[in-house]
Amino acid sequence: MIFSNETVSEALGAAFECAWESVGPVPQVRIDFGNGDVLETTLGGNVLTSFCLSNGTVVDLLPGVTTPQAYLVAAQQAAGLARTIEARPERQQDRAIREAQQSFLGVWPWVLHLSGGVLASKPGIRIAVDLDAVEPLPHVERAPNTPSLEVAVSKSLGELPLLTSIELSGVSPISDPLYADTRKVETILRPQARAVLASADALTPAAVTPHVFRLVLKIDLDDPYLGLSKELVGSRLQR
Amino acid sequence: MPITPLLLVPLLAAPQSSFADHPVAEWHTCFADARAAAAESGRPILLFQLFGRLDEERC
Repeated sequence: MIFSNETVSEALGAAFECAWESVGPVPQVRIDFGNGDVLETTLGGNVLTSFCLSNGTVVDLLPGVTTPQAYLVAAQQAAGLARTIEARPERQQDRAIREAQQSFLGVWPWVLHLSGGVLASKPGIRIAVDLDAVEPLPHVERAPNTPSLEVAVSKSLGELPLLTSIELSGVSPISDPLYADTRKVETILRPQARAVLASADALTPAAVTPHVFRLVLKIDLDDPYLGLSKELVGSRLQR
Repeated sequence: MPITPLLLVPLLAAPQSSFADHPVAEWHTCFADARAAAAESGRPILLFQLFGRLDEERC
């Protein structure tokens, strides 16, 4: 849906080297109602977009599914962030990426630890990070006299173009479930992913992706049942 | 330099014009290929990870 949108596809082709990778076979669901009707579908939506520098360093993340317009806004943001980071000396880039992500969240790493891994960027939104799963502090502390990165922004400003694009797209917030998915991504999943990225030990897809799938999308890529086994207790699981 | 939200305005707005009039995205089928291409082009990389295959899914 996202990439079949010609505007989005053209924009991505202009700004990025685009790649896709499979993290596993697509789960399939089949329900036989016993009356001749059979429902067959796949479990979709558990996807992750990693925006990276040309050397492969992850600078930003977008977990989950959004409207094409929201995806384009996120890609534009990431492209701008990548340009800003690439303009810095290479030895400063990892720190700049972490500071940018922390600025997007509006918190600093020590807050993460003081709060026991639970962040609350605003009332009603709970951002939790498994501290055992991420490498947190020393390398993300701000060095003395280090200037702030110019991409720091309040969340409300970050949402402005997103909300505008959604409105312009004509998508009804009430009737379109994709709008609800987009809101969930922007208000819950993406901040969580950014918290993971800000605290990640290494800024590579290989290092970041498993944590984001497990902590944000709630899928353990090493679990053959993708975390569904508890819900399926009593059913006859077959390998 | 102090943090100011206004600095992000051009950051958000500027890329739109450069996104126009370009061919539809061509996809590499692994991250390593994208890195190799990016080393040549200097462009950042977009990595999309999913269950199943992008060329078989409706994404």
